[in-house]
Amino acid sequence: MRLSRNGRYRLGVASRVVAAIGGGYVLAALATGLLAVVLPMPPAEAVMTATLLSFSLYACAVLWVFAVGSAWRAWTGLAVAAAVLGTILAAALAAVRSGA
Amino acid sequence: MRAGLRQSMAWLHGWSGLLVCWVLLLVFCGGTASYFKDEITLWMKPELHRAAAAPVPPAEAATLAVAFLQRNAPRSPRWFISLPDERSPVTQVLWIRAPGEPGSGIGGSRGRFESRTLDPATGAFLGTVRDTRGGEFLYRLHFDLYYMQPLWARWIIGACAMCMLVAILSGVITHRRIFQDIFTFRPRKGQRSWLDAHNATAVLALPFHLMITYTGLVTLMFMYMPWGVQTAYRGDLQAFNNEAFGRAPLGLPSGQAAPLVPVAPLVAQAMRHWNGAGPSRVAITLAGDANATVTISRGSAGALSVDEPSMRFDGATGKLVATSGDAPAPASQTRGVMVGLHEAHFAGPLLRALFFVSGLSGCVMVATGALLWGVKTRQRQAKALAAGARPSFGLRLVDALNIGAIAGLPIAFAAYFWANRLLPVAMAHRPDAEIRAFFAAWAVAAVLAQLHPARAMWRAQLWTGALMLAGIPVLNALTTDTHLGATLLRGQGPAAVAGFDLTVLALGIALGAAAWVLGRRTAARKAVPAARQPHGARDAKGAT
Amino acid sequence: MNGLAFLAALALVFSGFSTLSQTLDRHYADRNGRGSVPGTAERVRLHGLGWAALALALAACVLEQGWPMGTVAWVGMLTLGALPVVVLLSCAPALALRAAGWSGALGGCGLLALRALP
Repeated sequence: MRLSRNGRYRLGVASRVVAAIGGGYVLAALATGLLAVVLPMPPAEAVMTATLLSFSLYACAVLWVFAVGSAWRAWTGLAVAAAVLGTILAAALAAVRSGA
Repeated sequence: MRAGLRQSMAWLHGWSGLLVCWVLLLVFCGGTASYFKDEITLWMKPELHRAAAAPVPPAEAATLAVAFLQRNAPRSPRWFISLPDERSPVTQVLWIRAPGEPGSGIGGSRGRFESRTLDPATGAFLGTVRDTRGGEFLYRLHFDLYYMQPLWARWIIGACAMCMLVAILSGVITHRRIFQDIFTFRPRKGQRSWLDAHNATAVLALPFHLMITYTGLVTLMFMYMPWGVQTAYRGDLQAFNNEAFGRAPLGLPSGQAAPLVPVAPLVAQAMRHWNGAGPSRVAITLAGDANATVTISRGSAGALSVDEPSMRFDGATGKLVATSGDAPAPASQTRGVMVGLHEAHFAGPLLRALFFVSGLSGCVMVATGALLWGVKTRQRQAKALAAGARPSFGLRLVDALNIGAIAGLPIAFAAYFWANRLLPVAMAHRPDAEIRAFFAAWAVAAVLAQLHPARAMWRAQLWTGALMLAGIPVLNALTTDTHLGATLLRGQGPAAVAGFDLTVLALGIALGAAAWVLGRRTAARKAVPAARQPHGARDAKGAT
Repeated sequence: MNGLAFLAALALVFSGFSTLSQTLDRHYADRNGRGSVPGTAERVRLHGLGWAALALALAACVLEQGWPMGTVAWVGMLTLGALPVVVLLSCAPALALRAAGWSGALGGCGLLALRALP
């Protein structure tokens, strides 16, 4: 299926919108979850700090998705960041569970 | 997307702003009004104006309230008295019906309570104060919306707030000459004037807009981002609340009876601990049981943070169990201050007025942004329009939504206040009727706007809004005796009522001025021969 | 926030922003003719006076209410005080510096009165 230039443009926009809204939220959620366990402060404080910061992380992710060169790059970047955060989070949770 | 950071941010700013601007306008209008919600409620209850005009010392109000309760609820096991303060000038008493009394109240657990509003100066029941949600409706409207579950509304508003945050940040990035243009306003230059107005209201109150958007998200942050609690507390919200806010879960009754200790020494101990600061609330659980607790909270009135320090005592022995909030941890305090800044609970009248002005500039920012989009799009379609084509679907829709929201919302607000004065006082379901008036007026304005999104509709709705708002003080004079003549000129009435009358009058005049200017522009355009207008650059509002 | 602090801060913010507006080429040119720009010495002087007025406005707010509340009030005053500057510059730009001078003087007196009063 070959798309016209206009069609490709619209698909690119739609793709970025999904990446920004959905992918951005996932990224912010992972970062919040990670910071809440990893920050060197009492747990309640860490949760508070992480959650307070979450919206700025989400907003930055959205801005980045629309600033970056192409929709593909946006998705790749989000996927890589999510994978990295997810791995560290899994490791941190495992460490907490085995340590606690 | 176009190449370059500024262009991509400009694109993002335009779309993230436009898609949610009409909801945001509602949120800003409701939120700005909420800064004075207690004053609005007072204006909407004229029966209380006399009480509000002459403040009564709390000790006297308390004595009279106790006398009332002794006469009317002598066998009730628990009395609550809310004393009058600056923003709510009446005494509220609440009591639990004594066991054995017929409970014909509202049903369920609420049927056990009875409440009355008393005149603080005489201790007498204030009789039929007209039932109204008052300013609370406008406050709730801006995050719970209406006609839907609060949970849905809060998710919708949260999404719109994120769009607004993105719009603010992308707007700042894309505004290349933000410091050079900061005072620029070039009137009568069509699209450029709208851009200047949008920039001025946005940049001059930028700290407020950024603050109000972010802190708005923070007020519901555990709903939008529960993931920290999920990972750090394995989803145990109660444990988190206990550690973070000092909220103990409700205990279970032990079954052993133990008389409640006298509360006065506990209050005195709390006041000593807080260096004389007065308690605002006393909450008692399981009174008469061995597991009773007495929690005394200090008001947050003087501080930026909303979090109230509190002290929890064992209800049977009077021993201090826990104190919280005296030295809040940094992140907790940050959250408390952020929510406090959003609500501005600490603000005295002048500071509150500053918040109000900033909120109004937010309304103008959103409105001018939406109008600017319409003007720009109309200019892009100018050639086709001049050749006789009809406006595109998007342009027509945006024009219609603009009229319905920007001109329609003032009409809705005014209708709410008109309904308050005109509906019969002893009517059933009165608050719902007033709220229906709000939405009915808005619906009529919005539907008419969709049918005919033209300049004439702009002028008609702006004039309607102007006359309705400016007419409120007149209506007030015709229906009560705490009108501007008494409250302002003779200086006797509650200041809040005078302030309300003056504010709606000023808003009405402003809308009237806008309608008048629009009328002159229309006349001037009609005077220019049609052949001389190929660019349509001066066409500021709506289609013809 | 009492009335005197409010008015003093408002006058000082208006004065500061009016002065600072003259460091911007567009508004300087509105007053002194198209294409003219302020010289370095003049720019430094205008910046100094303008920011000083804004700092004094902060002092007026903080003096009366303490640092937390005072800072919040000051940010609000910045918004309220900048709006009349925009109106002035689009209606009568030639008056900018004179208005700045008068309001600065009045604001300064108000600030002194605040210090002097108990």
